[in-house]
Amino acid sequence: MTRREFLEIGAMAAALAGAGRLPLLGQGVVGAATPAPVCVQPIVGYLTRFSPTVSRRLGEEYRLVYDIIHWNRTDPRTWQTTNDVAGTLEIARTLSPNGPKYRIAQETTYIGVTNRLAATVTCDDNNLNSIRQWHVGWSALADGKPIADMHLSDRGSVRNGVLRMGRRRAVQLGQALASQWTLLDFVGRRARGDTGVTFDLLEDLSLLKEGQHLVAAGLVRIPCASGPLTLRSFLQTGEGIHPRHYLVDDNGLPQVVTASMVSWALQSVE
Amino acid sequence: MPPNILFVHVDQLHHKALSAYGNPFVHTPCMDAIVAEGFSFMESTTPMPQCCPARASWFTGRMSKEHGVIVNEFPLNPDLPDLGQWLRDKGGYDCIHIGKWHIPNRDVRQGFTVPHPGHGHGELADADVARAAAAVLRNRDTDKPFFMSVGLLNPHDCCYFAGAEGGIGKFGLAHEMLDRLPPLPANFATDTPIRSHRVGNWSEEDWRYYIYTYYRLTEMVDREVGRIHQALRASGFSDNTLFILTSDHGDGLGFHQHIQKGYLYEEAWRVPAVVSWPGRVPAGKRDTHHLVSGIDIAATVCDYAEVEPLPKMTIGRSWRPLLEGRHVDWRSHVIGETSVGPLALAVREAHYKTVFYTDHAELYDIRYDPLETKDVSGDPVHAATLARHRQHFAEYVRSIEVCSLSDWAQGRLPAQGDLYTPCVEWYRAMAEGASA
Repeated sequence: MTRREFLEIGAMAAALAGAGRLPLLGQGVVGAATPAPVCVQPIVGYLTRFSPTVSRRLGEEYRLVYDIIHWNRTDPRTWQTTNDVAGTLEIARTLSPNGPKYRIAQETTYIGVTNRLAATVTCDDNNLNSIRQWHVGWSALADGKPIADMHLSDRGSVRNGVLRMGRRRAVQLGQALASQWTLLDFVGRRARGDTGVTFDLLEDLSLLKEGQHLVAAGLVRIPCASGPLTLRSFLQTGEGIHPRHYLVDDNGLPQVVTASMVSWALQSVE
Repeated sequence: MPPNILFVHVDQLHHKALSAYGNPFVHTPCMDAIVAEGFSFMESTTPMPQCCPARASWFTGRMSKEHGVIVNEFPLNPDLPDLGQWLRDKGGYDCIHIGKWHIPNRDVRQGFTVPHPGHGHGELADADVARAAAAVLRNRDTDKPFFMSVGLLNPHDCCYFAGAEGGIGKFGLAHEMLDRLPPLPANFATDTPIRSHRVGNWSEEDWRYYIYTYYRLTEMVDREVGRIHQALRASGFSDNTLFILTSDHGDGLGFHQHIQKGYLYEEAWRVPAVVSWPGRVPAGKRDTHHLVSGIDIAATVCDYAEVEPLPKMTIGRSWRPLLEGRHVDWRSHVIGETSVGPLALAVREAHYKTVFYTDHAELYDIRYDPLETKDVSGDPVHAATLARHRQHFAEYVRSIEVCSLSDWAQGRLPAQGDLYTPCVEWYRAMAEGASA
């Protein structure tokens, strides 16, 4: 641990203890004996072969590539998890006259089927990158060939706070709408450690999950193949999600995102 | 022409884990919408509260002690046809299965086409399973009737949060989320002789956090159910498709200080069951009178598909007359059974329920004690009820073909070995004892 890390962790722990909160230390009985912080327990096995991507400060335009990490099991004696890489996720952000634009490409493979999801999203140029209009396509392949009928294509938009998707009933939103992909920009570049935000989530640009909260959760030190790594942590909780942690380095680069069965680990940044 | 049938099943959903049914700790707008447009059986149970046995019952119309899958991974009797084979061969249906199947010794492809197999982890694959089902509904271009079974996993992922594998559950967060954690169930402290496993030494915070995450998993699968249901309503099949939503079993969810399933307390045994077909099935109906079971799924599907019932469906009944508001003499009691842990069989009437074990029985007055906190089996006032339930047990055994260890099961038994013989002997003794 460097002196800076020591001082930051000490100061953060003191501040949180003063506020009656000591996150990330595993106070619950279940899992308390595990060596890794709560936020990375689903991917402990994977971390032994993970080294953080060489970091640089994110600008307005970038391309991030993540491995999608799948939890298989945890050995109850060693607390070591078995993790495999189930696929990849690419998130490319560019600026356009209409606001920030994202291109998403996600691919997972399991039980002999490859699932491809491709999306484009245009956002409002605000703190949360509120999503404004999008197109998302999905297809499934076996042995590299499309499976009959296994394809979908949908569009959606938010105008004046009203969410519309295909032939579904329009929904009046109460707050900003984000996707799990566009949210990374917020935690990486704009979030402030002392404030939380609330928003609604449009998971996969398809499923509305209201009442999301994102808060800074302090510094966390995680084990990696290249040695311990100290990252800033953000915690998202809300409807229809397992608590999600975003672990961000000093440059604002989201290195790791964990849920439970499925997590992301950064592989490259451009 | 007979209708299309869309059978959507989730895994391990507690019978009250829907906001439509008044649960304030979970928000399930998509399943609520199905409840609003459909017919809810509020007294619905599973034939056996474990994945494989319950699923085998859906698709064969036989109880677990008949079809052979008496515990997870025990083999299905290969001589029994399943709904896919039956509707294809007898009704000319296209039979499609997507997602979780989990019936040992039966290749789902014998009866169904399988465009997407899903995966045993809901967070990984439920979205793809639901998209696959939606894609069938959107892209299908034939008028041939279909029977589509869609198996979603969640909230079953909770199994991997419990006990030694709790690391992925992030239980360490419980302490800082106390204001958001649901309370413990009112019967949490009720002492019971039947203990579930894998809970370790959970603190109250851990229990409440488990319940919290269970509800989040329920909300996850709610949205996926909604994806399928909305695709149906947006498709050309909306007017001619019977939609059935249920679960293979419930979850302990802290009731009786239990998690998971395999036992016959209400939290594991009861399941949601909703049927919708706008214009054909009453909207918003909640039937609290009729006792139904997952064993009825096969009979109901065959009835609507206008094919003869599967062979030797002994106690399964079609829900169709109930859904159509026709008068019908209905069963007075429903049976559930288990071979997970202690061998047990439950008889449940509208007001009373007995769970028989090989060495004792527990009787509950569920009209006044729905949380099953007081066993009244020793109260002489209830002796006649207990005797009547014992008689129902014997009648049940005489009405079914109890599966014994047979040639097709030999060599396919999992590590537990022969669980058939103790059951056969107990059932026979109960039948003979009641007769005497």
